[in-house]
Amino acid sequence: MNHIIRYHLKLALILLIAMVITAGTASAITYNLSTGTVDKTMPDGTVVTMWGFGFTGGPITVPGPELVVPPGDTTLEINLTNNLSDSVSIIIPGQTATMTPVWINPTTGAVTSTGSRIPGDTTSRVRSLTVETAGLGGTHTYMWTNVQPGTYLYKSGTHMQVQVPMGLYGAMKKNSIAGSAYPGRPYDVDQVLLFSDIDPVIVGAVIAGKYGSACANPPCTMTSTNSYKARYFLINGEPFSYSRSAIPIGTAGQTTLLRFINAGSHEFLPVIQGLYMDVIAEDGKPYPFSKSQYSLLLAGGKSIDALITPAASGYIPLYDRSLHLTNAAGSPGGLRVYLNVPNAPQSLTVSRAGTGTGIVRATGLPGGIDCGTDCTESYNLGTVVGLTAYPDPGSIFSGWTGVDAGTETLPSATVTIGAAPVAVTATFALPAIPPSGTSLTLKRPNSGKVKKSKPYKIKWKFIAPPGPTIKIELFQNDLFVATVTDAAPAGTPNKKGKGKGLFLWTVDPTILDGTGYQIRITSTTDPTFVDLSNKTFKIVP
Amino acid sequence: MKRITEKRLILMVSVITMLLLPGVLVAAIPGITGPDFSLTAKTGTVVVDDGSNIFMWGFANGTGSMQYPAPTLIVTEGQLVTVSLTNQLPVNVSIVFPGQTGVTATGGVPGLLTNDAAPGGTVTYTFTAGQPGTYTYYSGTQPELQVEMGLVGALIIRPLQGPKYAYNDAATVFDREYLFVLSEMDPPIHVKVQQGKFDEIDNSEAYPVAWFMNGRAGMDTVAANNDPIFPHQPYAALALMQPGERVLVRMVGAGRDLHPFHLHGNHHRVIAKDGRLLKSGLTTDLSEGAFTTSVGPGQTFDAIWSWTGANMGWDFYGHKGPNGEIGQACVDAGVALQPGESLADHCKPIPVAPPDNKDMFFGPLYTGSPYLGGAGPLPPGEGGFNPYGAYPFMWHSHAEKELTSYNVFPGGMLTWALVVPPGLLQPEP
Repeated sequence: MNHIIRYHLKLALILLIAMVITAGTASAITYNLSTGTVDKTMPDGTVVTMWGFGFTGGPITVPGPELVVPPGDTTLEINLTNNLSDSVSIIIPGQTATMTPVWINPTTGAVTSTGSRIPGDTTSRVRSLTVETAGLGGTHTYMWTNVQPGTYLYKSGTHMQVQVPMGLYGAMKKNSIAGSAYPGRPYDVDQVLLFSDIDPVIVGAVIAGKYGSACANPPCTMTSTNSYKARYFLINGEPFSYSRSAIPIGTAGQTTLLRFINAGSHEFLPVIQGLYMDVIAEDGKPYPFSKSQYSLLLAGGKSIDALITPAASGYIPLYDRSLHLTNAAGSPGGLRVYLNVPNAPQSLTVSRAGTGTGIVRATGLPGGIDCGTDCTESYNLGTVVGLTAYPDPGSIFSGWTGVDAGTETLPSATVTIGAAPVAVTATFALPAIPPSGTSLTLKRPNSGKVKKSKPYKIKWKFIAPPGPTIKIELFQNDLFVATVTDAAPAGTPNKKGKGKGLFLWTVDPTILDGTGYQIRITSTTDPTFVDLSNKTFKIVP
Repeated sequence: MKRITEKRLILMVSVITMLLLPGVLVAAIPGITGPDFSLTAKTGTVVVDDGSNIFMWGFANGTGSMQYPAPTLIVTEGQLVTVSLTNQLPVNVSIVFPGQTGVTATGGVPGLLTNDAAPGGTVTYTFTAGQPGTYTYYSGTQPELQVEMGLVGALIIRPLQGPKYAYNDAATVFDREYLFVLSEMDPPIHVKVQQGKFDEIDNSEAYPVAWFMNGRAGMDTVAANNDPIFPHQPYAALALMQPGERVLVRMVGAGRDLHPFHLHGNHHRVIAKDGRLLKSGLTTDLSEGAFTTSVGPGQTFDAIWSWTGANMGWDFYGHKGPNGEIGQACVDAGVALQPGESLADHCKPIPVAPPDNKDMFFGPLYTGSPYLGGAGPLPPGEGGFNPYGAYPFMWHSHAEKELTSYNVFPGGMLTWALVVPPGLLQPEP
């Protein structure tokens, strides 16, 4: 080889070595994460400001971004920038790392030592399980060598009873080889299912600087997490609501690896419907023999890996059988998702029409539509979507177009998804007010005044049976004010079908005194039975 | 053993006496066999052991009364099962069958887990009974409220190998079987439902203060099946067995909480979970010995429990020879072995001298003799609550708070297993 080529080779070799050195070891992966705050809106409208991780330069999320360590990499580095005011850290239970705990004086909060307590010091407490990243822009690099395959939870190791429920957690995963989490257990598609919960009261106190025995913004309203009471329950950062879309997994016949992790403060008990899971590992350690179960006891901090191989396309319900299925007191909500085994999806779009108002929800599985806010969703071929129309108070539902034949007039209809997109319209109407003297007649109040200080008898009569119950609504100046009652007994018809009824109305003290009021009565089963006060009346104390 | 009030024990002795009369069959697990079932969702009440009532929603068999837990459905693998549900509640209701595949629903309206029956309406569920085992069924409509209200029960699928097998596996043979449906309740939620105040219910705040086994609380668990005092709670939770018998214990988590089910007297061997044998392939046994099994909500477990005199070091029958011989002389006299004895301990007397009665404090179940089936002199007023000389073992939730009803012990999730002298129980059919 002549000396020029040898020179070029040497140069190339030097450059190659230089590249390897500047890239770090060949078997390491590095992530740049930052902390910050993020507003999460719960389905009931409650906004909770939380703490979370995000890729530096990207959005903060709860849970934080999914960290993937490729099969060939044995080292994970996280360069953390902490924009919160409190110090934080990162730990990954199950992965080994050198841990240097941080001890503090429990009264002043000042750091007293790192590593071990100073001999003779019996009062300092651990605030962090490992080195802290200082707040307000501090940085630190955390490193794990000999990273093991499996499914893991990364989270703050600092003041954990506060910082983990505040949202500082996320999933980390590594495969033993491409397509296999563990040797001999291949999969086609994987999906993390990270369970967690939120106590908005404690989170709110932390954000407002009112948490702790010495807080930034006295008075301190919450001195500990002893009273932790979760009100919202999330899978992958979202509670269930009608608008939540199903989570796509492998197609029929493919094997999906479900990576369950629990970052919450309770154990949960997810159950799967219609098939069994092949449970293959726990805490990142594969079982020597897998177990066939439809349920998992998912303790706090735990990870469990399970394979499923659905035989057909469709939606697989997965929900918490310890029944954390609400959003605060609202239902449905909480820990419920649908796993979508996809097949030729088409979109279903809902529109609303008419002079009245109302909402439409997909009340059959897998949900996905809550219209007003979410009026379109894709569903697999053959799905029978159940839709329900809910008229607003004062409106009535008058029918559907685009739904399955035979369900056009029912408040709950079905739409069978075929080979083309579907458009459905729900029509809401304001019922026409008929002249007096028709089937149902309001006898009082038709004028005069209604006193708040004692119950008022609303009376009506009818010349044909109006059905079992009457809805009574209050209007002022033609605008709807309140529902007096959804279902007052209508009164028993005599042999000729005539009769009368009354309702004892205690006027709600929040209704303002004034003029221009009218009562409207409507049969709950037949909206043609309707009447309105002939003239307006006053409401007085 | 904690002191038990006498009036509660009257229940117990009446049960034992009645069930042990010669010729009385010890029931296999009571239930209905279908495979076509007609269930009605309706209201009812249950009685707690303090005498109070709780308003319930539950399933009834056809036009019968609501019962809690729901009727135990017993079918055989491979049968085509249909469950027609008629709804007499004021809200939608449905049924889901965890562990069953290919369940189809006809009629009703689409709900979030399956088709619901609207108030006054019906829906029919059809499925082929899958692998044998112990399963559960419950309402899939707003389960956080409806399971609390009582719409939950057990489903048993028998193997083709035969009704005395739990699974198609010779190792799962049993002599007797018992079902334990474990649940709990937050009664103020039931009051609000009864009053129609659904908007005031916060199911995320459910806080149980009453615990149940097979729908009965406290000492009521040992009253007989179909005891007329409990018109809506037909199932007992008392387990009776003879020494050496293999008892299949089917456990169902039916509430929202996990319960550590603790069986005194011996370890049990958990052979299956969620209706699947703990076994890999044909030969790898993954069953586990335990004395407490954490039964999570919605989960099921099958276990085999047996009591023998193994390793006791003395003959628990108190055998003696025709002239009162004990020890080797009793063996040489040809005194026969009885069920559950170990050869090594045959004829060995108890190796302690029982203290004088005046130095003892008596539990109400002590017969005056340490031997199974035995009786001995007792001071006046003591004893009488264990007329057949059984060995009683408490089977209960080991979350001690759950042994109360409204904060009063004894109550809640407790029952007994009674090892009775052989010959007193008929074989299970």
